[in-house]
Formats: sequence, C-alpha cells, structure tokens
Amino acid sequence: MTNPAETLRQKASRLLDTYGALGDESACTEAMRAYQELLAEHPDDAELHWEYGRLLDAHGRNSIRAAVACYERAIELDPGQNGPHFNLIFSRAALHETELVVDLYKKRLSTAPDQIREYRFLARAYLYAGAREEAGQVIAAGRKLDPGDYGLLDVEAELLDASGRREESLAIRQTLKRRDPENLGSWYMSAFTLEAMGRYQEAIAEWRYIIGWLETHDDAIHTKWPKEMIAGIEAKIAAAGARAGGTGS
Amino acid sequence: MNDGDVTARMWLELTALAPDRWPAIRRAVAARIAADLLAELNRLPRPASRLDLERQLRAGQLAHQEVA
Repeated sequence: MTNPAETLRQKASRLLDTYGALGDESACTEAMRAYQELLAEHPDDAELHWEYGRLLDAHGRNSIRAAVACYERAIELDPGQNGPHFNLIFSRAALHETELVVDLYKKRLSTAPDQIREYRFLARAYLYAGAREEAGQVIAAGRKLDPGDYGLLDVEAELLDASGRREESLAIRQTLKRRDPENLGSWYMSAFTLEAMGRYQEAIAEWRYIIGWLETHDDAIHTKWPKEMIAGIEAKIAAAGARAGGTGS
Repeated sequence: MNDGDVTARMWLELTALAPDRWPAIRRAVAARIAADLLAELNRLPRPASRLDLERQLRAGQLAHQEVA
C-alpha cells in the first residue's frame, strides 16, 4: 500500500527496495524514471547518485542472470556450439558465481575427457575465478592431448598476461596471428597488453591494423571503439610529453 | 625440442602406426589425463573458499592494525 502523501524521493526509495526484493521489472522502470527526474533537479546529491547506481547495478545483474539462462538453453538445444559456453563462463564470472562453472566444466571433462574443448572451457572458468594455478594445470593437461590446440594457446596467452608474463603472452599472440590471420582476437589482446606495458606506439599499430582489417571487410561500424582506443593512447602520450616538458622547464 | 613438440610427434607417430586403433588409444590416454588432472584439482581448496580465507586474513590484519 503506497502512502498518498509520499514524496518523489520516498517513492524512488520504495521502488528501489521493491525491485531489490522482488525483481519486479515494472518497479525498476518506474524507479528509473523517478531517479532520473530527481537527479535532473538535484544533480549534486550524492545519496541520489548512490541509490540510482544501486538500482542500475541490480537491474544489470538481473539482466546478466537472464542472459545466463539463455546461454544454458542454447547449450541444451545445440550442444555442439562452443560460443555459448564462453559467454556462460564470462557471465557467471560477472555475477561472482565462478564456482558453478568450475564445477560444471569439471563434471563435463570427467564425462568427455577426449574432447579438447572441455579443457578450454575449464581453463577459462578457472582463469575467470582468479585461480591461475589451476588454469595453468588444465592447459598443461590439455596440451598432453593436443599440443598445438589454438583455443588452449589463446587461454594460455590470457593467463600469462594476467600473471604479468606479458612478453611470453605477446609471443603466443604472434603465433596465433600467423596461424589464423582472419581472427582479430589476438590483435585486440596484443593492443591491450602493449598499452599496459607502456609500448604505446606498438599498441596504436595493433589498433590501426584492426581498423584497416574491419574497413577492408565492410565492417566500418566496429571501428568506432578502436579509434577511441587510439585517441586514449595518444592522450597518454601527450600527457607524458607534457610532464617531461614540465620537468625540463 | 620442448615437451609439447615431443608429445605432438609421439601422437603423429602413433596415428601412423595404428590408424585403426588410434581413436581407442586416444580415448584411453585422455581418460587417464583427465582423471589425474581432476584428482589434482580436487586436492586444492576451491577458488572461492580460498578467496574468502584471504579476505578473512586481510580483515584480521586490518583489525590488528586498528587495535595497535
């Protein structure tokens, strides 16, 4: 029962509470409208920003949970597809539910030990759980079965990068680029690694390669983000230059 | 030549030597690899439990610092 004398602020808080408790999407939609109206009137109210953030966070989590159900259904309907498994692992990690996928893929590996993809899935599930040692063990075991598997190398490059062994990660990325030049994944990952290492010009070169490839393949719509990444790196280079100039003067 | 190269070469030779029996050999080897791996993984504390333990230890250390 709502209070007829309820202020907009009280209404927003009540709807936030209701959405948190029941996951009622109509309460969420109404709460969003209320918070947007309140924030337009009070743009410097910290409490309002905090509450609105919590609403968006709860909504995002519920959306990810719905996505998990979609991936699980997709796997059930088409067990041969690899893609939904990776999405499932990412989404569970976003929900901090990595144990569920670790258990799932351990079980799957025990029933299909000669399927190399099961090692890829389990390694990634561990990697996203922050369990780097276990991820490495799974990769090593999978390699005994299929030493040159592309997917295992891909997850190994990611593991090495996460472990701070960036040169080794970049070396694997070079191998993957040579093996499958049409797969841009390793260019994207190399760009991130190089930027993290402060090798800005090389990172820009990776992004330029990606942009060129996308334009050649009539996929210019996806060049927006790489261009923004280049702009971000150039801003870092300019800031570093300005600092160096300031120090010298 | 590293371990991976040796394994790859061994697999290739086995495939050539026993093409008809190869799938069964591979399945048997895979079953052993997976069983050893899962036994080793099950021996370690689960990642989330480990994370909890780390958090508790860190919280304990912070509490000590507060008291000091």
